[in-house]
Amino acid sequence: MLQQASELEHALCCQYLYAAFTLKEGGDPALTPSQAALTAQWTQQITKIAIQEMYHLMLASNLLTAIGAEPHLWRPNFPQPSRHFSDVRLPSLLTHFDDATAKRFMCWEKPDVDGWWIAECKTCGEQAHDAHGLTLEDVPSYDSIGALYGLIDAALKANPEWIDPAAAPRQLTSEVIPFSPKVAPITTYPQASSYIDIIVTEGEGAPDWESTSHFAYFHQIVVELEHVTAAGMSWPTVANPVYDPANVVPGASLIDDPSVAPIGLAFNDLYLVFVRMLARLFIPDDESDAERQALANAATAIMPLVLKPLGILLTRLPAGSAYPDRYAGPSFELPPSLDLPLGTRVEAVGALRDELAAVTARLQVVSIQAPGLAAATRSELATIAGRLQTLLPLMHVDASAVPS
Amino acid sequence: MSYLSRPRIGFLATDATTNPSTANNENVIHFLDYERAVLLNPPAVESATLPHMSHAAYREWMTTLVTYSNPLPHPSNPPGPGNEPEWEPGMPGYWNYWGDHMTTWGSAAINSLWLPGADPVTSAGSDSLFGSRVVWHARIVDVDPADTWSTQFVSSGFSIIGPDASGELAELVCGIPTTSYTRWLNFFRYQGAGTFQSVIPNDGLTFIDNARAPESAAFAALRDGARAGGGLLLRYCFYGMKTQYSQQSQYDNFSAGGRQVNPKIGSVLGTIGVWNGRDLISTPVGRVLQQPTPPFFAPTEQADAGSAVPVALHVRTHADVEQLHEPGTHLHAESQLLQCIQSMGPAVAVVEDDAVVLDLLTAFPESGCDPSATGDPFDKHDFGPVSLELVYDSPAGSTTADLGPVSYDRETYESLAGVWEVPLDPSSEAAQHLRDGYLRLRDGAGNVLLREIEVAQVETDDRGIYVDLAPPAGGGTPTATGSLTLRAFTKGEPITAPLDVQVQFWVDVMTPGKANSINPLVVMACLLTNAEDTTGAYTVVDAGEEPSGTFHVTIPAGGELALKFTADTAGCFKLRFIVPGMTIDSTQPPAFAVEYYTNVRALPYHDYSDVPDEKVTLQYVFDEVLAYFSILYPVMSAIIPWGPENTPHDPDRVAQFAALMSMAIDESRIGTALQMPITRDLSAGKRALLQRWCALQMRTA
Repeated sequence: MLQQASELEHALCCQYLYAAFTLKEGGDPALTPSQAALTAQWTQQITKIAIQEMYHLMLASNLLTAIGAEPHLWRPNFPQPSRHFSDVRLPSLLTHFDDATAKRFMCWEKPDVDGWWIAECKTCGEQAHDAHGLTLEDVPSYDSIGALYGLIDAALKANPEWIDPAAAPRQLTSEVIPFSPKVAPITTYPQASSYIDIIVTEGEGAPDWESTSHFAYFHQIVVELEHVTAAGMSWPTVANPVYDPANVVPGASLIDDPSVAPIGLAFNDLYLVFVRMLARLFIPDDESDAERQALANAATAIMPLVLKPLGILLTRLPAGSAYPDRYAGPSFELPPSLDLPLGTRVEAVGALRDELAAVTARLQVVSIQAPGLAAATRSELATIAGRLQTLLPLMHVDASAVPS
Repeated sequence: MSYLSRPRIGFLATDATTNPSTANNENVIHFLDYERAVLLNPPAVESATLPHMSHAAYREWMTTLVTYSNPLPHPSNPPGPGNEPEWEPGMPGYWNYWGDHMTTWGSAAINSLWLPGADPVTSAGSDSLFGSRVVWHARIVDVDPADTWSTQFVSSGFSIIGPDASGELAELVCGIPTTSYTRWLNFFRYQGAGTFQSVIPNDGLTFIDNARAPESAAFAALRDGARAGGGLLLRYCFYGMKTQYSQQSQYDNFSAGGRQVNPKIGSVLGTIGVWNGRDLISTPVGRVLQQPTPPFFAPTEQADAGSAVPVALHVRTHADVEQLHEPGTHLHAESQLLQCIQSMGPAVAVVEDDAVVLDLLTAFPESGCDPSATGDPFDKHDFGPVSLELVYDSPAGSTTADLGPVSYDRETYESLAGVWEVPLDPSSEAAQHLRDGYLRLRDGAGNVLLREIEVAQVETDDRGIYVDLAPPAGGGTPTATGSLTLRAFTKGEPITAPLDVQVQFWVDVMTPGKANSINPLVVMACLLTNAEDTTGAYTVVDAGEEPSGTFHVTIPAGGELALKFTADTAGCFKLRFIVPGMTIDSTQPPAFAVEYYTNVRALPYHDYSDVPDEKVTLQYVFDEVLAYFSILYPVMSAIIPWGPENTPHDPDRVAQFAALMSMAIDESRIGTALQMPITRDLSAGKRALLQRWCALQMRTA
């Protein structure tokens, strides 16, 4: 169940980021200053929610770590039909920001109580499946996300001995990444339950779903969209872009344009390294506190400095002749399974550093070699590569230092 | 082995880019107190009163349009009928408010290969390294934000991308260069030019695995040379850098909600060679050739050499540089009075066994130095045939030997990276006198363009020194002690006798502009005048800098001296080094374009140790520390918010970056590309406050 929770939080985070990346910014074509103010607001709100989903993913990983399991940072690629939540019945999709996307996000976070949203979200789920050629699967594992976390809580309550206090040092706390609300190691069931409460409250907002919950934010955006036209406020990307032909499934949009595909693949390479870096934070071996902190800093910095601008860049690049008037986007593709970076710090962190350096070099090469790119795009790619290169020293591991 | 020895490779790009945030470069309206490193709120404008502004209003004001006058003209050409100030639109945030400080060599590609004993390769075909791309990234940061003599490039990476053994593009070499510093700025080349130098020591230098290494003799020579020496040496010149948009255009974009950046784009030309591990890192050492005028030669030398008396232009600020190349402005008009011979920049000669190698990277001006010139402004001015000569004493008296012609046209300059080799017959009489004679470049009309200096060359690799004021133990006036190592050379070799050096402290003085109107704000940049002069005459004190102290040091034989100095005032300073034989006119500003100096930034003393933890909130830290940088470096808010006002819909987000911020401001990051804030003016006290706040965010309870 915790693995399913991790996949859910991870998938939501990617979907929200994707939509936020597609929102236009002040100065973009056909965007008025008042529209720019709105898109800036929505970008901040959706990004905030995405960061909270990542926070939830880290909490779920802490719970896994607390019971002696490995973090589960793999998730299936997009698109995914509804699988687990019979009351939600929503697909997982990478779509640009528009009315349907905002409404789908709102429905993902709908309260676990009766209300006007029940009927509206049922329709939303059916339409989303239809629109992307997905089959709505009827496997009612759990009624809702809240129900899933309720089962997790119940299982831990019934088996508090599962929680191993000795695993506390491997958990990710505010001492390493300053999460908000603060995160301390989970060593008892009450602590675990309190973090589950935070996840549920921030998401569905129960019982106060009308104020600052994800649902409340998305509902506010949906209401605002009733008064403005979303068309023209985001870059119209393809739905569910895919760059690796092996990952093509119904509903996916394979982008093989030679200009943009190398950039999409480089994004995925970087995303994979990033995910592996996060995983390493939960399975340290002989890293010192400073080395683990440096790895966390590098991961924290990659998001705003590299992944975000690269993702945004992709949403501004034409998707190729197969998709007229459509733009590409980051596909967040992962391989069928995730190799955890195990081993000593010299082996594992050294390998991660090498992978990051390889992505840097690849971005440099793409900025030179990819055909048909505008000079500004090449320059932007080179700048992004330069930022990534700046972070490489953080991943330095002194092999001669005495391991912790 | 010298910095010009073979093997070396040359590169060129015409799309090099530098993208500084210019908020702290603005020179007319004064909203920065450089000494205390705080914003003036309200900003200072002489004879005008601006309102105190909220942070949001201040930031908006940075991109509002005001009207500037150009700097007033030189005292020799005072304002009057027909010589009125020129007005133009501008913004307090200046020409690139949303810049991110990233500087790159654009699509620089290798266009010459020099191997020992072989003709240079200047076309594709014979060596696969030819045409490879040279990638270099750095952050541009001024030690003294208000002037132009203290630019530093803090590099985050360098690589050569070219075909590997299989023909696939790959990273053949990579590493992190040392910080490079402005040296030999030449404003009188087309759109200006500046030379820089840095090295990549072997411990940070990586070459591609041998199995994938290309079949390239040049690559192998560079790799083997680096490994046998200290690493690689990069020497390069930015020139012809120009912005793309006017401030009016920028304003229009900002008004539409945009954040248009306006980098300067131009050319970069340079070489990559082998560093022997001993030579200076940041500046070339060799036999330096300068104009035969002060400060390196007495005024009488000019007449002897046939040179004209130079026109002393007061070019100091960023605004001055812009005006210099803006037709219709006073400075541009005055620059037209210069003769092209007065636009020559320094050169360096290195004597090898069989050649004199000339570094002409910034020596010869472009054709724009001649107001009557037409055609491509990047073409070099035609001085006619130029020769390298050696003048030496022989039994027959003073003898001049013509060592050979020097090509300096644009094609030669760009294709050979500004390096020209004059073959030398080791058995010739001239070769026997190379050590005791002096070198000079002379044009066909007999004018001496450049002449080898006979005074010592005094340089330092400590070219951007930051110190923090702090009270001594037990209390008292805050002071700061800095240190640097001076090195002295004669004819490119360490001095063999002690050398007396006069060290002058120069402090940057900033004076607000004069307002003609408050709404709209119309500001006139004013020349610094003697405040006691009531005659109305424009008596120059200096061009914005004042000497504030002098002392003498002696560099011992061997040419190396560790030097300490103490600052008791916060601010931006220069240490100017004057050696015997230099001709210094104390009524004129220093000629930092060619003189010896280094930059010092003394950061103010702040003490927040008495502030209790519960008061160290995000809002408090924002008000005390981050708001200043939020105004000066706004683009950061698109990556990591400076504070709640940057993300009103997610006011707590900045806290999530506390660990990253703590790392980036840590003292261990100083001098690296990871150091934040990028403006490099966070005092130790404010750093401690910010780190305390970060630590509070990282407590688990």
